Amino acid sequence: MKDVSFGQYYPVDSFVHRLDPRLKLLFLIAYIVAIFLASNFYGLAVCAGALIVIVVFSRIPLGKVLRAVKGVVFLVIFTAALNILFYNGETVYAEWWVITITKEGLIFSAFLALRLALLVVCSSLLTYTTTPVSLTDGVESLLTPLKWIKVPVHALALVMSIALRFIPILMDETERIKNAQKARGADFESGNIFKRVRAMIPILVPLLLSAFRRADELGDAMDARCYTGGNKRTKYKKLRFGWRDLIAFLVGAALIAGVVLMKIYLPAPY
Amino acid sequence: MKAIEFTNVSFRYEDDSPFVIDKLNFSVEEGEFVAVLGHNGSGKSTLARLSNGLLIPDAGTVSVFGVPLTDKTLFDARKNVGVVFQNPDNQTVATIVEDDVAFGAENVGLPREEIGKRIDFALRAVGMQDYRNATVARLSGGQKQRIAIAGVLALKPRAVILDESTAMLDPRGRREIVDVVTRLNKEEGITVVLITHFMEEALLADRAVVMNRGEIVMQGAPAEIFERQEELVTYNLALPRIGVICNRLRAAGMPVENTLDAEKLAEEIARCV
Repeated sequence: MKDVSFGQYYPVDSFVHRLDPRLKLLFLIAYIVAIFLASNFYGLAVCAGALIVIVVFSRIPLGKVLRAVKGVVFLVIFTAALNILFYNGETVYAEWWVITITKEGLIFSAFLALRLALLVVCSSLLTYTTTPVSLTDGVESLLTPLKWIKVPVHALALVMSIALRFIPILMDETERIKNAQKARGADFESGNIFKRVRAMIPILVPLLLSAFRRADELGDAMDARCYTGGNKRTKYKKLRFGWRDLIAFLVGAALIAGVVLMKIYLPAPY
Repeated sequence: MKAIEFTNVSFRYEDDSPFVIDKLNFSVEEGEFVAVLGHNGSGKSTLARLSNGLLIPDAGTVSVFGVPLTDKTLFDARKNVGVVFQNPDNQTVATIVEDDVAFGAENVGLPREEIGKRIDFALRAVGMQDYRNATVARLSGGQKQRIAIAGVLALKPRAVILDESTAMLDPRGRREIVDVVTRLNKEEGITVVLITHFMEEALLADRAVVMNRGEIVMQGAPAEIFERQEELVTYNLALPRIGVICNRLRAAGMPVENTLDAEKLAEEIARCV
């Protein structure tokens, strides 16, 4: 099986694994805000430092963490390259036609790349350390206010967790169909971009059909196990806010405060 | 008491298509272990779906433990009759074993402590108690299917239907499943309906039923059914080679006992010689 890291739970027992999923979700949001609030490298350094601490406490192997970044490496390089080439700055290093490479451009690109990497690592840490079921419970619990305006929060949360569960299965299936089509002489590697996109159709159609079939069977299996929606349901795993969560909350609050203070007292842009 | 009872049941998927199940009368006694055999399209899967209200018959009635299936009794019927399907990947809701087993028990609104007990019971019944916190995706096919059975058992059903639940497994996984359901039937007294096209799996059942084009065409003790080899062939069911050898030996005058297991046949022959 191809190694799919995104959205995959990594089953070890750690401090971070045991945190309340609601807290982890809120922390992720706060963290993203902090990353974008940070206007200089000191701020980002604080964010990065906090993330390293989380990684250590989560007992997720470093390779696994870095693999999450690998998925967005292309995006990071692409945006960084664009910024290096087109950012308007004052200290010009090189100039050719419409392209100018400036000191400010280089710094800004590095800044942006770092931001993206932190963002990806932090969000994948959430799925590494939280089972889809407790993630769903967390989302459901946080969105409870929406139930008052008749939003089907339970159904939405369940859809999310089932989607997460089926990612590796569908990835596997894609690989299998791809190989089957290759065995029939399909060519995915040559031709221009349009030809290649067209070549994906024989993969997508069977994949979609199979996804519908799976959905149908899953629906039957859920029906057979007395699923009737969220009304009468009870929960085996109850969310509880414990001492660990309090510590994590304080650390998170300190982080945001740190970033904000740095923004105020160290106004040097980089 | 009858666990499942079909009275003159007819069913078709489209209004203008032929009946998949045609005026079927069929029943399973409480505590019985019945194997339903039939080739593809014989209507055996439809039988499973009609038994717990996933499909509603066009004519006739289906009763579950004495209660006719209607919209109002559906929920209780599903608590009493659990169905395990063919593809283990498509019937697991959660990523972690215990979360998935809990799903059914959560659906019927049991209190937390009771759900915990049910998970213990169900995982022990299928011999997976050491995998409570494992990731379902990392298990073997046979283990995944045992988790699917546990998920059904968490509702404490009085009957379990396995709808071709062994079809996608390797021989070892198949044996695991047959062992588990045999034990459930003998030790927990759960009624078992095993729908399959592997004839050797039917051997342990109290009764074998052969379906063809929506009708029951043969019925009786598995050993008796397997003796009617020519008849089975007309329903596109081929006896495994060991069974054929058995029948030939008996025809030639050697009183071997019917079996589909090579080792056991060897013992039988040794006994007769």
